[in-house]
Amino acid sequence: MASTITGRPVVQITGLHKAFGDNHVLKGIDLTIHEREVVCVIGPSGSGKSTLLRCVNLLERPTVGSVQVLGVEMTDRDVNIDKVRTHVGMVFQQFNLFPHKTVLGNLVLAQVKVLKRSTEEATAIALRNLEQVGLAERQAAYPSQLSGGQQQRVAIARALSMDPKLMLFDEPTSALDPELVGDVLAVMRDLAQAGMTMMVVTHEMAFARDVGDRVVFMDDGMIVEDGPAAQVITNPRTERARVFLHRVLHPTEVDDAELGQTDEIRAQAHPPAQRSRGLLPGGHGDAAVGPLKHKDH
Amino acid sequence: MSHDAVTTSPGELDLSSPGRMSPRQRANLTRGIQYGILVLVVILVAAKLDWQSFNDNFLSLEAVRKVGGRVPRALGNTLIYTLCAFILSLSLGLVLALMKLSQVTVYRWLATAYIEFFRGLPALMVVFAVGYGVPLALGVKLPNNITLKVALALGMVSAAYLAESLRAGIQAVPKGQVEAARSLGMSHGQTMVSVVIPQAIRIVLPPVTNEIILLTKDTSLCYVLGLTTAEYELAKQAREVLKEPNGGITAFFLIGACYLIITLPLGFLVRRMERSFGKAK
Repeated sequence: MASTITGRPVVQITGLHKAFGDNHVLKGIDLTIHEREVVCVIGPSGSGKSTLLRCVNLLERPTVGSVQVLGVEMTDRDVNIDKVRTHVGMVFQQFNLFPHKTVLGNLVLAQVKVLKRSTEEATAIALRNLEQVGLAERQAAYPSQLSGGQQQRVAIARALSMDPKLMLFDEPTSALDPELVGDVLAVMRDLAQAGMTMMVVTHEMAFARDVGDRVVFMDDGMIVEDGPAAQVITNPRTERARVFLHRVLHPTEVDDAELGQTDEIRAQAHPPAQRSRGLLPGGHGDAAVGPLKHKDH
Repeated sequence: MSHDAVTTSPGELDLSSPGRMSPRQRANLTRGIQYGILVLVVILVAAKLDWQSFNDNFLSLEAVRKVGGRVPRALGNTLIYTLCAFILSLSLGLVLALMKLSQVTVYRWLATAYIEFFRGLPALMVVFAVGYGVPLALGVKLPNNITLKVALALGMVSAAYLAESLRAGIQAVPKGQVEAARSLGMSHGQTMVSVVIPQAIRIVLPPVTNEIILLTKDTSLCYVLGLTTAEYELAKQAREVLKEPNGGITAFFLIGACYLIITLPLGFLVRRMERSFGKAK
């Protein structure tokens, strides 16, 4: 995928701070995402990745700073936020399908209520999107009858049914059994190849490296590295990113003498008084770099 | 890693405890003792009871024939009073629940005040107040319709209880559901109506059923409003037959059993609804 992006900016974040009470989660974020670009956000738990993503469609209200989405200033209190959100699809870690509606019902609801499409038109669009994620035959099922991977693909199809210009993914595979992760990643890769602008918070380093145009490494509420995917994943410039990636990519190689090392590096970077949140040592064992298999459906 | 190899030694557990019963034998013995006591109690009651008098008082067919014709109308009245009160209770309860969850402080205060006030008062006092107190004090004249008065009084009380159940149900719907709906561009109202409330109803079905059953029984309080024979509900009808020379306790219990005709099918219906919600959960 091309790493030189010159499309129009879809997301423009400048000087973004977010605090929950005394807990300063985001400490001055500047980030621009261009049209057709796939930006993966990685970093340790509690580094503020999800909060940053949720500030983009204003599920969290920024404390200070500016967030522009599709040219609209989201922090403006008079903005018609519902209108902007119809153009911004969001996929959650816990899927959040509506359990009282069938798969088709999940996809049709907002199309009819928000976009005022007719039921026939909405159904046709829903079926087309279900087809795209390989689940057209499960349209009459209820979410509880589907596996996690299927539920997440339905959630992606639900977001796509609104014809979004930007898709946000909040750790979309973190709640899945390992053997189901591939199906969801394949759908996301197809979407990226079709030219969707995407912002993906993830622990899947293989996905970030192979599908992402840019990788943003966050730690302690700040962007530590921001560069072409392959470079940040395979050859990080900063010590913090290097330790994090080593832990994630080689979770079994941590030596007894190394235990707690990540904590020390963090402590040097941010004296305890400034650190607002307890951070877990080490990375996530559920991620490993390997070839991302092509899956046809 | 520099841990010592974990050593395990295979062997057999020694579970023998000489002279003691096994847990299963002990459970069987205690169960046997309980059944023995139960049988003993039944035999004692059967032996001590005056069966002639029991037959005359509790199983008098003649009494059933005498009052039987009046039961359907009383049953119908109880049903109508309950239904009307419940409709008011559900609508008002939902509004109060939403007010309690509102961002507007004044709404929250008003709802809290209402709920605390009507939960604290005996229902009987509210029925009195609606029937006599308020119309006198304010000079308003309610239409002389017993169904309206009962529904108003009991509905207002019941709404206070129901509001708390509904609020809990709405809050029990996971936050992610609201976020998913809002991120699709749905407004707060659309999210409530299409996503949150349908799920909350499934959650609050058991407490709401309880509330309907309580309402059914509370309709007996409407006697204080002064009923004509045509307006008698079950409890009032039962009191009347108790006064009659030949009515007696048989008719009284027959009418009492009519409450079960309402509540038992209701419970059955709700259990079926819960089962059919099962897969949509």
